[in-house]
Amino acid sequence: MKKRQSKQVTRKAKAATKHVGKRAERPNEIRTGMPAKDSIVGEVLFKSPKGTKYRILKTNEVDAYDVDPAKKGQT
Amino acid sequence: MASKSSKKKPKAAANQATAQGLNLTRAGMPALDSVVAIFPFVPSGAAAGVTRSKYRIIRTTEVDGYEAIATSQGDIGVSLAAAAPPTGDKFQGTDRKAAKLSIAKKKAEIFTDLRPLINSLTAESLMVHHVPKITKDSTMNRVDEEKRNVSVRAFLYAASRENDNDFHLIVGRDPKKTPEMYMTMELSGLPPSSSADFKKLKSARDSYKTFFADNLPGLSYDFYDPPIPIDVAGSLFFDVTHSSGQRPGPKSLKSRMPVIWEVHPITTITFEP
Repeated sequence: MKKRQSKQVTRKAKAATKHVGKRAERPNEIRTGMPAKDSIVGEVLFKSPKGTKYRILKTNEVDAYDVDPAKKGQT
Repeated sequence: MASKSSKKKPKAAANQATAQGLNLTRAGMPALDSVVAIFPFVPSGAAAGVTRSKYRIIRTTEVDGYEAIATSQGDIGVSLAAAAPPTGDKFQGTDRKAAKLSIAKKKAEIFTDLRPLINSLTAESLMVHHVPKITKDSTMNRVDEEKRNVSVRAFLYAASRENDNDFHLIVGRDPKKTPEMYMTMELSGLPPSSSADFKKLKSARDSYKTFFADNLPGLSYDFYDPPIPIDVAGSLFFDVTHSSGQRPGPKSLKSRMPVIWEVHPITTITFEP
């Protein structure tokens, strides 16, 4: 009985660790509104003034009419 | 036998796609400005007496990003590295400056979701042929359809900073809602401090800058994970500059940006309300 309990705890603990690890390391790439994977050039962890944690995914995406970023937004 | 009207379709498809009943908000639709032809399609090889489904083929200019014909992501990276990020807060653009730097004088209409807001906007085909004509002239102020203030609860998905010092926000619905859709909302670069709307516009811009502190976006888009809940308000604006040719928005999302209407300028923005 004791053995079974400890096995369960171990499994639970492992699952929890795995879950946290996954979340911390990998954003949900298929979540609505995510950028194309190959456009991501960097990532910054960001804590809002209210304490919420976000991930800022830096991409190389620009508006299509701004193919030359040096000319971006000159309208 | 093709009818006269079906022959005409491919020629002006990009600008007439909406008129042809394309549901741009349907999942999986291409970006409107990538559409070069639309034609009906009935699969061949149907057994006698079997009615086949009718389809529509939407031919686009889109290719895999690694194709030589596509814009090279590598080249964009080089240009981005070379381009100096904008500094200061002063507005440095010209197109429709009068409208971009002023606030409509109407009571705000409140929306709890972006979809009904988008649905409330006048059709692009009508705005393009508006009388009086909407021009890019710096003195071109709001036409009647744009004289509206709106307030909506939504989510911030991505943002970039333009060289004219506008922050370009891609605002979308709750990520759990379908169909997904986004529209552009802009925090304008600031008018002269003598302007009647200076204080309001500066306050909105400051809210944004305070929230992100040293994490403001540069010339290319930053995406936020998870999307950041916001209450945002401002005046409506029809982006006539991009009513032909390339449409606004980051490549990953613009096929779900059904309008070139904007909230511009944003007059208040509250993060994590």
